[in-house]
Amino acid sequence: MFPELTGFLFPNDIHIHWSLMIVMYPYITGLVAGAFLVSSLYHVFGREEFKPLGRFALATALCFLAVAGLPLLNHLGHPERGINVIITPNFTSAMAGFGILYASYFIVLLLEVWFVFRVDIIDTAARSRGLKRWFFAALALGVYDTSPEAQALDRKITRVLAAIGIPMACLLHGYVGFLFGALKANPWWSTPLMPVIFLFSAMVSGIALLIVLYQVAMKLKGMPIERNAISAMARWLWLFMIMSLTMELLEIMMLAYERAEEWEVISHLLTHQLSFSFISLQMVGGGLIPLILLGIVVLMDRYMDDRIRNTLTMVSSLLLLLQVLAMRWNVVIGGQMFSKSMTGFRETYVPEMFAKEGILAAALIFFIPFVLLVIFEKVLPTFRHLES
Amino acid sequence: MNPESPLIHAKHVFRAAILLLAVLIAMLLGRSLFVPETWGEFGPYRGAAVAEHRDKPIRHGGNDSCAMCHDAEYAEHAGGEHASVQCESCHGPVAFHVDLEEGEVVAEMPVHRSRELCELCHLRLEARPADFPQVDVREHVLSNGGEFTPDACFECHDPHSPI
Repeated sequence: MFPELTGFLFPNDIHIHWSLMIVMYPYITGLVAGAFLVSSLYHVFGREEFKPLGRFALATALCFLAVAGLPLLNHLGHPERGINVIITPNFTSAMAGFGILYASYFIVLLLEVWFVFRVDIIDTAARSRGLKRWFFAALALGVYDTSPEAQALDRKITRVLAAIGIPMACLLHGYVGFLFGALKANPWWSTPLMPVIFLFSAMVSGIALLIVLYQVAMKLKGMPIERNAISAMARWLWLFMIMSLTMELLEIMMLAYERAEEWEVISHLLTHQLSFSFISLQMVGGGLIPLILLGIVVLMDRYMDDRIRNTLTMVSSLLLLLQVLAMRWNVVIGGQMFSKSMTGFRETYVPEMFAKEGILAAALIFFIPFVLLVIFEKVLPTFRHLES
Repeated sequence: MNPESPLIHAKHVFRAAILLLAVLIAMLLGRSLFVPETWGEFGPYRGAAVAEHRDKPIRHGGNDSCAMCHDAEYAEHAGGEHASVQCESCHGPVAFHVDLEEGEVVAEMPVHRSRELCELCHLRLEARPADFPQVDVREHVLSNGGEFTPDACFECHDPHSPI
């Protein structure tokens, strides 16, 4: 009837309250933050090597942000009350930040997408008839100005919006880390490093996702994969993964070196309950191996054949996507595997396949942004500027 | 507008700004419709909830109200192991049985005889203190030669004064 328990646990330590859905929520928002960063590298910082990806990254960020709240709604017993966090926020709780940060970031992202794709919207409206024309005319807000002056203004506004968007993306994801970092009763969560770790791993997962999606999209469209774009993304990914891994390790090393009383619990957690997801996935399979592979790509870039570079970055990205998911799992689920009494453990936790918050529900939610991205691509092609 | 003005090419920006403003105003208006009137009166909750809870009819009477008629059961219970457990914890609120305004019996007091009732406190749990009596009911009943029926506990134990 009850899971395997050892030592002394309080009654409310037995159940894993924050389920797989709470693992998916920071994972999806992290992908948004990372994808947005890549688009900003082009739109704000003018990194030309990201030009092929600037629009696609923006569309990816929007599609993932659109479903970022879904895992939370599915987690709530009363999803219809979820809106209360926006209508009547309690500002003594960090969770009140959600409504404000999410809504404002969504508006900024939506505006940026509109300004970037405005000329395409007008072109499509001009080339279409009937209902389709009405739809695109409405999207263009009835203004068909594609003069160089208007486009220059669009670019200027895009740059400003992207510049506002960077701190907002950091805040939205930093706040998710803050929610865990600010729980002082839980030594596995309570560290000021938590928001920073969340932020850096978000960048890693977002860039990794874009590398995978970009390569797949180019294969599907039969277009060449830009060598410079892959090289540049591999460099940024390597940098962010080194920062992310360093901080994840630093936190553990501090705890281990200090030998405070919580280390008794956490060392047991890392070597028993989380041994596979932390040591094998987060540190070795998803950490050390991509570190070496990306190191080869970055350091031997000029001697490398394109196919080898693409394959190595693809493999590293898939492993890093898994690494970040494992990191979210280790934080969220790991923090609930021991008792607040510091003297008891829950030995295992395997989420159910078909439960309301089970594996299938998580997979379905994760699948939606990809469908949205395909729809987005049909409505507003993100690679059209490369074809011309 | 003067055709030389740089603003002539900013028409779409103005439209987007007006639309954004309209959305923000609609959000604020929509919010004011949903915020309960007394929200925030004392803190981040509906102030009227305090008065609503205060005005709810009283349904519990405590052990003394039971003693007014059931003195034998009261005495037995007061001397037994369950002395610290309130009568209404197992039987339910006295208002099920007596009209508290009129002081008249309105219905039979429900008597729960399910083992789930006992298990609420006595099911073996890691989180319970080791010296608190707790059992795996199935194993306990079968090892004592009983039948694992829905009211198995009551075959041997009197809940008013259990062993």
